[in-house]
Amino acid sequence: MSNLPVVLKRELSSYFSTPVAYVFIVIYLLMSATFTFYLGGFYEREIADLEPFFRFHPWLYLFLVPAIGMRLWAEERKSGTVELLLTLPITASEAVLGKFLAAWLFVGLALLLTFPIWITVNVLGDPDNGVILAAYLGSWLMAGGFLAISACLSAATRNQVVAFILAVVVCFVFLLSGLPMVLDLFSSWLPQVLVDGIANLSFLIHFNSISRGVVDLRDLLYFALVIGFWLTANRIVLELKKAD
Amino acid sequence: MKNWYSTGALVLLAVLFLALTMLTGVLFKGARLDLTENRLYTLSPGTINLIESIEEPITLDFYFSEDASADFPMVRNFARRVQELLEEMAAASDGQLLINRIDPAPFSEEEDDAARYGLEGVPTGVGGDSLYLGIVGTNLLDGLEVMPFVAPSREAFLEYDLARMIYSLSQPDLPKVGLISGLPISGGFDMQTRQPREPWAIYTQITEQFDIENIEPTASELLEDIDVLVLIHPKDVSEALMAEIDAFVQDGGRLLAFVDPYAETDPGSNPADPMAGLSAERDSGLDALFEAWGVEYDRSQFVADRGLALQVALQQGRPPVYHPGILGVTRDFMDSDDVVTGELETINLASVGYFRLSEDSPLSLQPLILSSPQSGPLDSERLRFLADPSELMAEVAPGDESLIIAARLSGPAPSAFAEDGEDGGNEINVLLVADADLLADRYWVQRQRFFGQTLLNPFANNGDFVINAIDNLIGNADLISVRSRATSNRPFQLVEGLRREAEDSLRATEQRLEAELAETEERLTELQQARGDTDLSVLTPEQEAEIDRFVEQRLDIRRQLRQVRRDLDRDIEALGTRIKVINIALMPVLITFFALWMAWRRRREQTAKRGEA
Repeated sequence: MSNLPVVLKRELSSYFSTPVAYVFIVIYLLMSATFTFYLGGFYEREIADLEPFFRFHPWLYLFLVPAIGMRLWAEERKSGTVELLLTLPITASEAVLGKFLAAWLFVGLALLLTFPIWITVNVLGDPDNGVILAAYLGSWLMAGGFLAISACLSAATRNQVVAFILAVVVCFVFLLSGLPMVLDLFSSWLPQVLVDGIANLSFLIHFNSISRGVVDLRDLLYFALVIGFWLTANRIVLELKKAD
Repeated sequence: MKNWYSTGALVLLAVLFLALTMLTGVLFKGARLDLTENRLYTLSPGTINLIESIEEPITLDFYFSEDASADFPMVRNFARRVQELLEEMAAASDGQLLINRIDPAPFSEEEDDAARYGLEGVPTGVGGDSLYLGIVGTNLLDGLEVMPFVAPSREAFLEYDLARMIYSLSQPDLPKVGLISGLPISGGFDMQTRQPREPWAIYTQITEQFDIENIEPTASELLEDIDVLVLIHPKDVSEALMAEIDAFVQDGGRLLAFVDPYAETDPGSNPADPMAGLSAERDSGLDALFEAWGVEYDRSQFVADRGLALQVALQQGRPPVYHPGILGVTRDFMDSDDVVTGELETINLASVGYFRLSEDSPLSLQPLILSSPQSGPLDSERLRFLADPSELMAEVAPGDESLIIAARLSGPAPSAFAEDGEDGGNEINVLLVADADLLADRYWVQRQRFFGQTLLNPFANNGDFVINAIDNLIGNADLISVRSRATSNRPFQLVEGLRREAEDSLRATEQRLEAELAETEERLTELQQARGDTDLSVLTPEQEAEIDRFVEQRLDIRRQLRQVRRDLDRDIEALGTRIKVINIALMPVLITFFALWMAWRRRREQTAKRGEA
């Protein structure tokens, strides 16, 4: 893993050499603030917390994170640089992890740039900053989950649009699996243990659990498992597609 | 071949992933970091102390219907919270607290048990199955405590409720409450009608729930083994008894005291003589104790409150008027985080006093009931021979803040009567209420005769308040310290401040304009009187001009009032717009500039390089 920092640095700097990164950050900030104020009614409800801000994060990530993740491998495969990358003296695991971490840090940067809302809520009232900290952590972890899925699916195709759509669909499944209408489909014919297991797969449940202000080891492990699983899958898919 | 191998690995990975996520959900319970400011998800030290002191094993059976709740993820979530809290308590109990989870499926033996213990099954609609979510607690000595339905709306008090249940199961004896009353709450004998009087509703209620021992105010000593002492309107308490009370409190005994600057329900020393009753002293206090504790309480003043004033009907046929001495305190002015007042809607009080802590007091005074900000103290002599309470409305001089009507007093207290050498300083637990009238029936309950039985219809929560207070004080100090874990209300203080400011200026303007209006009216009357005749139908030109001016002025004043009101909202809206613009636009604009600057720099570097080449 000695080459990991090299990959990470190359990837990160590549984000800021094109306008794409800035456009992404601007869109993300505009949308999250607009949702917070107009859909969430942040100012009108007059409660000093960031619930209306974090409430929309899963749905924002659903479209924005696959947009970041789609180019990770599909672009390299299309331009043929993936062979070049894998013939360099770095391992496939280093490449997978480096690309993922760079993108994750980038999303984290976008998330950090929402700090004006944190200042705002502290000026307006006296919020529970522990809860806000936990929610930021949860939001970033959830973004990592979305990103790992997107990265893996990006490696499966050379078409970025296909990668994007696939990623949105899979992320959507991971998001929805905790909602009652989905669980209803299973509860009639699966034992309750398995239904609870399906509910446990949902990003929403774990994100909501952390954003209450409690960092539970189970929630951390869940996101670690999701990221670990999809990145390992990413590595295997790269192997598989080498022949294509 | 390799493809097959990799595909197989993918499938294996997926299965492994599913299994691991399920496993982590079951394992690793309780390992968590509570980042909330009030440690909302961590057992409080009081609960832990209480659980660690359990001596005989206690079993809590947690009944929860699995099937009936399948379609209600919210309820399942809450049940999980209950279960986790129970497990956390069990983990802290060193094996003395046993938790059983029981699923009372329809037509099962468990369902019969649930019904036998009196658990409430909530019908879930479609299938008609009952949803049980209750707790049955038992100890080795046939002790039984039941929570028929753990309501999700009481989540804030869940820890307290469970701790209370465990506490009462760990205490074999019924708690004893001593009662010293300067008001005839236990009924007694009516000299005028020569018949026994009915006890007050509050007395009936507390005797049903607690083991009450009456102590005469003139007695010289307290009874032994009393857990809680309730002191009502202590007017003629003997010095010796006061010293006993002091020693009792110093010994860790808990005191609930109702003092009153003007107890309207005090019949006076001789009930047969109403004139004597009118001039009788009606104030009470605990001067010696208050002085030692550093509690400031003025017997000669009552709180007049324009904001919480109730309407009283003075005579039949006349419209009721606001009486700033009779208050209907709403939940906005009660501590919603304290278990005593947390779930109460309204408490009615009459001619209340207020407490304040002197600066050098080592104790802490935590308010339970407050007056509204539109209140101020008035001399309680004003209440005697008061013909028209609405006069008082104008006399109220609001101070800067709300006054404390009822509060918890705790901390290391100096003793009032201790001899030199033993200066007390023990932790005390006292609940002070600056009103005794709230106990009287007429402020909170209606009696209804129904087939020879008396039904009580409460219209205020005075009774609940007293029961909650005694109940809470009976628990040990650990239980008292278990407060509600409600996410405390966090308003936008900045916006509220703006609103208050605007309202103040609105009121000031309103008052000024109304005074102007009154002046105009007065001039009109003067003109009329100057004319000296009684024919009101004919107006002189001066009068007509004055009336015209009056009408115009009134229109103008109304316009100004509307303007002030609009300004109130405008400030708040302007702040909102500013905040929205900053939050939505500021960062994107800065980032765009940054990106442009980076692009410009890069281009310059490139041209410079090209130039070199």
